[in-house]
Amino acid sequence: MSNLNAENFVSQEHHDEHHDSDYTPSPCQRGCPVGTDIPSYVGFVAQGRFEEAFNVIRANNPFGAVCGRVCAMPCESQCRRGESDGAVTIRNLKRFVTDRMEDNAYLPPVPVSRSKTIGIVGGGPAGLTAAQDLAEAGYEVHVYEKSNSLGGMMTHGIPVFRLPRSLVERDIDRMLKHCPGIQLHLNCALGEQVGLDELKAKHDAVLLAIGLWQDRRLGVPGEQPGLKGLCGISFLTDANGGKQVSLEGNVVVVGGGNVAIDVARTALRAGAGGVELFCLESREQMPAWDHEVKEALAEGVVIHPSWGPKNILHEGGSVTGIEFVRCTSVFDASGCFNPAYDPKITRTVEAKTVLLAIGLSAQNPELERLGILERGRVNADFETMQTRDPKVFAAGDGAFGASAIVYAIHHGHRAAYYVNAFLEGRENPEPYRISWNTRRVPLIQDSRWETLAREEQVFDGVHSLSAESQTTYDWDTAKRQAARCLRCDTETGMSDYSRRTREHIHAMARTAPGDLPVLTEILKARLKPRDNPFPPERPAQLDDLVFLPAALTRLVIDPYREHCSTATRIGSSLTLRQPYIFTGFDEAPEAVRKALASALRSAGCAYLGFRALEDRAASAASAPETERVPWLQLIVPGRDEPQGAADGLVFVMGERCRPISAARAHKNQLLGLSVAAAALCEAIPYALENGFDLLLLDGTPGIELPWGELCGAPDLSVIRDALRTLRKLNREEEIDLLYFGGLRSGTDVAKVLAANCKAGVFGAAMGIAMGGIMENGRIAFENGLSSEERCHAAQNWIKGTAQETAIIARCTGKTNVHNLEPEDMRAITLATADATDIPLASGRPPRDYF
Amino acid sequence: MVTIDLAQTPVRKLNETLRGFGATHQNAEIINPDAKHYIGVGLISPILVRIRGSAGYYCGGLCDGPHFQVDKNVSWGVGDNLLRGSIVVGGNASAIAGVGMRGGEIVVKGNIGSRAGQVMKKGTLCCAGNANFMAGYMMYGGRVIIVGNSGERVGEDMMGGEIYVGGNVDSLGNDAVLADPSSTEIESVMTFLDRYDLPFRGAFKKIVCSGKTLRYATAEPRLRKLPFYSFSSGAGQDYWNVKVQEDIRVKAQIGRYRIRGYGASRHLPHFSDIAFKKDIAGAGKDPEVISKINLRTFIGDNHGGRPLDLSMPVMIAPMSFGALSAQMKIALGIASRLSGISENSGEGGMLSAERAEARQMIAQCLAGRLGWNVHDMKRADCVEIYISQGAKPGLGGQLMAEKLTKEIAAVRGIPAGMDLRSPSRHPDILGGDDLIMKVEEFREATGWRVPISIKLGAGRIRDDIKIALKDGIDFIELDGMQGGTGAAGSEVAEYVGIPTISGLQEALDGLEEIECAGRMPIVLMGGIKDGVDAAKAIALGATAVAFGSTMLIAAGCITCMQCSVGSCVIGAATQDPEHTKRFDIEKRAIQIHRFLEAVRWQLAAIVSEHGYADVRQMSRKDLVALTPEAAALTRLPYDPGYRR
Repeated sequence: MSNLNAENFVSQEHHDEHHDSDYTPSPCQRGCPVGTDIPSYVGFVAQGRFEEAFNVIRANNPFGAVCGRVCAMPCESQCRRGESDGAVTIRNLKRFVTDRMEDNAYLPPVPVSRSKTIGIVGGGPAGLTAAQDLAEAGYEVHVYEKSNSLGGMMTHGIPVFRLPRSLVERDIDRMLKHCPGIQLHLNCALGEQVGLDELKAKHDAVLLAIGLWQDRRLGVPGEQPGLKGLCGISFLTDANGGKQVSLEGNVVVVGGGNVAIDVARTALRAGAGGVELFCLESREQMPAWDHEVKEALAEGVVIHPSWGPKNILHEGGSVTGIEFVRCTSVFDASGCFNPAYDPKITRTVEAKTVLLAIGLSAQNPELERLGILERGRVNADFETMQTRDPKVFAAGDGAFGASAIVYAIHHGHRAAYYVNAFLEGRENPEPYRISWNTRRVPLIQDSRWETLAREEQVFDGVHSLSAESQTTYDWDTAKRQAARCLRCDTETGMSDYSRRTREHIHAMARTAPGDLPVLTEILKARLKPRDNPFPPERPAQLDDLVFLPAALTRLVIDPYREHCSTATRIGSSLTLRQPYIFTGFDEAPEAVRKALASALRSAGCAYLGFRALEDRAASAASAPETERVPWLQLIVPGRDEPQGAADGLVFVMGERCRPISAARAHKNQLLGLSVAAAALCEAIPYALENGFDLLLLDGTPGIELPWGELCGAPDLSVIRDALRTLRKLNREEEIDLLYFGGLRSGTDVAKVLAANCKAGVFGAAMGIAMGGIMENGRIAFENGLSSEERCHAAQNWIKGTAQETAIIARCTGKTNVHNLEPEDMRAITLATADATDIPLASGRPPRDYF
Repeated sequence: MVTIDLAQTPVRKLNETLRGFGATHQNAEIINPDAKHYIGVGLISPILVRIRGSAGYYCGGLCDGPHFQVDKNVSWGVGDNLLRGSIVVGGNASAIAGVGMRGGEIVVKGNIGSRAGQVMKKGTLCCAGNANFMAGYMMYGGRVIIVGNSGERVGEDMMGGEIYVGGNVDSLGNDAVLADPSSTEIESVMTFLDRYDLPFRGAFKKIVCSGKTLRYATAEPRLRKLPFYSFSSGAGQDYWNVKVQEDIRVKAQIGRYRIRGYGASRHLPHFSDIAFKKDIAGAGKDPEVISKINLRTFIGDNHGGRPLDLSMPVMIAPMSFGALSAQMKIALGIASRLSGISENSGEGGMLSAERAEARQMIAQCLAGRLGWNVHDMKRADCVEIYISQGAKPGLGGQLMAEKLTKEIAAVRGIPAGMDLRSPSRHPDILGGDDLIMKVEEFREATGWRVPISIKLGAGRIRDDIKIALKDGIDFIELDGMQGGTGAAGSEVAEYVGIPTISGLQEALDGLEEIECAGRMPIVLMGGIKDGVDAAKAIALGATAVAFGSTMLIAAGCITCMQCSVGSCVIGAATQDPEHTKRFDIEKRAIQIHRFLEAVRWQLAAIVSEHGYADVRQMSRKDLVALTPEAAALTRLPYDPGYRR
């Protein structure tokens, strides 16, 4: 049962609402029988978004508050962190959320919109879950409950000190408010107040969710009905129902399951002098969940494993004790329940009360008579949830055996699915699938996530029958616990080892050799090709250029670290410490411009723009020329006046080259043209003939447009075409090339340098580095960073970026970034190879000679 | 003292004889050395060896204990990696004397060549004459005594140890500073000189590491990965995607390039763009398939060494103790044994517990010679020379201070607590001709018993493989740019090197160009994730594949890419005891083993479905490219119709 979902997650395709073909449910979500989107609600908790967390929980589970207390937590046993330093406390985080929800956290009501109706027998978790699903689908649903209150085991079986009844009531209240189409019939038992035939006649389908309420018999001497001091499940239901159940003296509990543990713990609270629990199984084999056993032990229950009841001792109609015999094994070689005993070892325990909790069965004379209930179970096919009567469905413990509430909820969903398919007349519907889904909750940055330890909730000890034994977290603890989540739902950041692939590898590592069905599933999944990552519409990109490292060929002797010259000279007069020029800050706030000026001054980089970053006259007066930020003035011919103070004049030609009158104001003033690919044919000869020093190759829609880079990938062909033309003219060395467009990193510049440019022009990247926010195609600086902070960020960014350019050059065996050459690069996509004239990484046939 | 005449005896025979002498504590005298190379390589006994003349490359290399006396001169790399013992050279020594030495004493009575004591860690290297440039280059520890002049850039990039100069300090290297020697230190130097009868009257200057570049100034912020990643597709705003913005902002914060674990993260043409022509979705019906398919692979016997014997064409990729915890390394050792494949030490020395668990262990030798020693070579089943790797080709390894604990530093023989950036080039392998000398030295040290392989990041592999073939390498471990690492500059991981499928194609083309197809086994790695990738790689022409990152994931890694931070949540890539204790060696070893067995089954099922009985029957004919890129890079036919 615990791996309900594991079997087919590898081959099943999951598509969330984001159309993410790599989406794979996380292990905890697969472990949850109702597929709760656990990482998302844990993620919401980490951010304090409790209502959203609650909505995630109730999307799959109408009894969130109940499960937050008493769930079997199959999720936690699947938690990846459980394999290292303890699972994330998924259950208690759920409790933390539901505890914080106001009573009025109602979902909007769903009106009845269909004419067919369904009768559901049993108002426990399975029946009510199905009722909700069907009501949400628009049906009118009638719930027939034999007792006077809803909730089934949640109300009658689970001790109040573990699950306050107000919570059950609240979950049910939310459900009924949300689903006005649910009609209740309390105190209405099947076979007594209402018959199955009647239900079938009244409704279009019937769902039996009758639960298990009848004690199994021990079958040992002395087990007589009416014996005082011998009691079964009624002890628990009485205690939970508020009846007087006071005990005294030593109490013996027989059974090793969760109910036995609940009985023992209830007995302790009901006044027993001591509680001894005897079970057939060894401690390791006990079916009760480990955490519950531990809690019982902590409360003082004494557990005696490997004992089978032999004889109930009594005198005068009252129990006096019980005799046990040593159980040597519970299951036979074929794994069937077939206990073996060592008759030589026995043990007699005195007790006034013996409480039996060795299992329950379903009971209903009417269903038995109809042959639907046999040997303590409603007969139904788990694959269709149908009984032998196609109109009658079954779910929950009564049909499939005792289990945890969360499995009953799963049954409810499942049954509702098949009932709906039946009512819609769909024969052989697609098998039911647990709905897996992610809400893509952002990850919060808690740098302690790897080190934070699991913290258990506080155990309050034994008080009364109704006082809760455990508390939940305070907000700080909850935050810490939520931060521990590995967030297996999030993408890895590695295209190759995506979370889907990672889960496949994890599955391979957890599959026993020889488990052919699973191995076959995994292989099938692994054979599936990915979508083409480079579809034809994808433009050429700088990303698709890679560098060839030096290895045995092209070795350099100087082997160490990042030493590599980045000094740059443009034209005859402009000297920069880095091959970087910055642009695009003409309209930025003055404080940002000032900060940039200061950073560029210290980093030895130039600015390119319609106006200088700083007041040239003032800075000339206050600082020596060498400490000024070199300025290349952008000029739209006919609009802007060349400035004598500029270190260079760059005339914006764009896509059309036309003659201009360009004159140097002083001999060191550089002259340049800014051109797009379309203008190159005319611009290059023109620039060469007229003695221009530089060509600014513009890969954007236009350098004169504010933040024009942000509209997408740049046009790289401008570099290719410039080189082609210059090579054809054999005048490559006569003019310096600069490139502008989409440069984001030192690596991008290294690529441009390798393509024979002298420097790269950064725009948007520096905007982002200085704290700018991208919005509506521009970069905004409205946030409250100080000028110093922005300057520091700019300096840092240039430093880091320069290291990147240098280190790339080092990898190729160069000690000067300007020694990078086209031969150091390869393209990995056809589009980029075509747009850059850089050959593909492989694929050239072998040469005929060596 | 027995006399051996090298005019009559080949060096290989000489070294065998000396090893035999070592066992019986017999001293030896060598006449007519004729400057032959590798004299006395790989001795591990404290015998005395007198060389009556001059010795060539690597005299007394890879030794522990012997005492050499050379009457005249020595060539490159005298006393390479010396652990204990001594070497006294009567004349001059050529370049890189005492390279990577880890103990003992080397005394050169004449002058020494450039880069003396490069990457040395312990012991004393003494030159009675003058040194050439860059003495003490990148030394991690130990003592260099230069009685004469220092040469240019003395102490260049040194990270520890001391250099004493009696003559002029011609110029200080990067990160080297003059310091005041204490009287005890001077006394110790003088005592040393006296012991070797080297009179000196002047004053010594002491040079040490300034420590300015040992650690990065600002730590990388401990960010959790971006949660829902989209790789730049080039359409619209994606060009400036959140990852691009994060990189820019973090750099603006730390002022240096970013560092992370794993390899290239973005989409690259890869095996997932290649399909089998045959529809094998139905593979796996036969429960006995593994026993019916021959997967066993021998690799590495081109030059007479005992080959690695792999139960399937799979290896574990080299990953260091340091990058990984001892626990993870031991689990890899166990899993490799259980699955009958080989494990690899990676950089930084061999972990004994892992050696004991692994049946076949490859010892990897890196440029920094961290943890390198003759004993690990002798107990290895293969010796591998690392030239570069896919994640950071052209650069050396990196290990952040958080992970360079005292224990790791001790194994590596270096100071703890620095942001270790290993050298990117071997001190003694600067090109193809040096490589062949190094290979021969290693063969001498291991008695020609084991294969010698080379690890190469894919780049100019078309030519590199030709050099490797000519230089007598037994097989190549070829790592595409998808190959992972514990720490690399993220830009280097992303943009340097070529994709794994390109690397393989280029290597095969290179061999074909010199008509040597099939003569150099290629172990392909870099983003190999399962038996499907493995089968495709082998069909394309690889001899075997190796799993690296995939092994970590099999052992529970969640792919957070923060390996460099040092607090790995599962305890695999950390040295923090609070975290390593989370790592259940046995359980994780079984997980890795099960993964490997699933790979074995996948390989067998795929081969069987093709109707073959041996994995080597798979060929290019069985494959088709699903994307134009994959077709162009591999020259497989392009047919998207096979996209099933």
